[in-house]
Amino acid sequence: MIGRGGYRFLPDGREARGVLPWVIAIMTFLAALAVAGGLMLYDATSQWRTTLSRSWTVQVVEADPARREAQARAAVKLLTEIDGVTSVRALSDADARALLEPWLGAGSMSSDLPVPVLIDVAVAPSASLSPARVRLRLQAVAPSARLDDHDRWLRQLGAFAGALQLTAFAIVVVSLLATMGVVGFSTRAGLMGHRATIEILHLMGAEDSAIGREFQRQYLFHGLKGGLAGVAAAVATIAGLGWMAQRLSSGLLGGFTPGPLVWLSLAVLPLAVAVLTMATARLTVHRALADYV
Amino acid sequence: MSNVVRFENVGLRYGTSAEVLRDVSFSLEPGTFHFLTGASGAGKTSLLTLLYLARRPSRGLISIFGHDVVTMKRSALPALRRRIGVVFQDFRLLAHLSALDNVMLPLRIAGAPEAAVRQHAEELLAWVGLADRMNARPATLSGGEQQRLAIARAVIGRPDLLVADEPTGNVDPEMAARLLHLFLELNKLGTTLVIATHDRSLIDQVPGAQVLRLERGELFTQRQIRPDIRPAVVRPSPQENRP
Repeated sequence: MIGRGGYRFLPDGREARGVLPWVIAIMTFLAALAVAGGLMLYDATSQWRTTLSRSWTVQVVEADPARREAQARAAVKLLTEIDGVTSVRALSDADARALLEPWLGAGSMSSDLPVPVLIDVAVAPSASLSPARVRLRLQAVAPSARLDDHDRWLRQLGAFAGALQLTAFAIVVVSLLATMGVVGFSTRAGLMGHRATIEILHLMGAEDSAIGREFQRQYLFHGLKGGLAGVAAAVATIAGLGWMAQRLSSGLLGGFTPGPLVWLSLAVLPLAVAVLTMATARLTVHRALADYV
Repeated sequence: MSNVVRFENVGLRYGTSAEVLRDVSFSLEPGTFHFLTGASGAGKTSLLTLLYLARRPSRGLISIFGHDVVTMKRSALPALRRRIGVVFQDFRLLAHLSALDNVMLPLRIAGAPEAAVRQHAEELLAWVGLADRMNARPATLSGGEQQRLAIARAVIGRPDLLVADEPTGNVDPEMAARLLHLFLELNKLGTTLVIATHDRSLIDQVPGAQVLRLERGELFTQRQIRPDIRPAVVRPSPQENRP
């Protein structure tokens, strides 16, 4: 068959050699960032969800300072006695006022302004506490207490993260489709450029699959080259952003660092792009050759 | 013995234009030698393209090596094409390959062992006088050298059917005689030859050959001299029908 023994019958695809690997590299770069971003977002939201689901906040909203303090003490006592609660810490009035300073401004708060008592409650990971039941028990000893288990915020965060992951997935799909489109266009240009040679090969008895292999080999190489370049650029970008995130020392961004799955995905991506490029070229060649006699 | 080629009421038109071949019927038996003549535009090249399976007819039946090529699947055509050698009028050599690689191409496509292919190709190139041009690219060869290279490429696979379009048009008489000798040797080995030519002297050098003549898309026979070579079965020419 044609192409055996490493012999090539078609000249190098000069029309594709220059531009195509660059285009593939750009598309792979975008896809790699989207893959890494989506996976890192998944890891981060999982981490945030775990952290926040183990932490409740109780607010005692009462205008009268004496009743507020009394209810806060009762709430702390009750919460401490609940099995599964690992720590209960009521913030001092000064700490609570310090939390409000960024919104109200330093020194602008009147000492007469009632500030709720905030109680930070840590729950054991294995505990299966029902926030609704705890709320009922709190109502009995501290009617002004409000328990926030962050469920609403977590649901909103989950929905937003889901939308971002969907967007990342869409970017990956669009990038790969664009790569296929460019490869298909380039392959057709290559077929046009080599039309006379292909006709001769056909007339000498070469089969479509043999001519297709000539293109497959070329485009596999282009795909691998572009894929590796794109992923290399993406790795550099992700490493740089990861370093910046670590410097922020933020608990929120702490989870936004690439894990093993991200690196594994980035390692596989150039191969996937190369195979996709090769398969697109093969499909394009076979469809085009079907028009020949 | 079955026919190598059989045409029955074959018509060919390009697009919606008038037919360039009309009701062409003939058959070629194995090991026969044929010249195809006719004025420019008579349809010689069109007929040859049907013979070497570059296109299918608009109507009629074509059988090559006993296979109906009109209804045959595309995937089955390569196997038949490997049994046909073609010398194109414009040579159609692959510009990116050396002379040696061009000659080796048909055997490489057929999957022949590389060592045998190379030795055979080198011997053949020496025979057509291109021993010292083996590594030259076609663009650096003269018209005559390209023609000899095209002939070497067509005959290297020792095809069952050889179709040649003006194969001696660009060579001197001495080389033309040498190439004709090559064709005759191939014919002795059993290859059926169809050579399109305007060269009367070439035709006269093969007295036993069948001459097929095309006139405005219609095929006629002109002469059958030697009875020991089986002639093509063709429609008689109008002149021969006249009383």
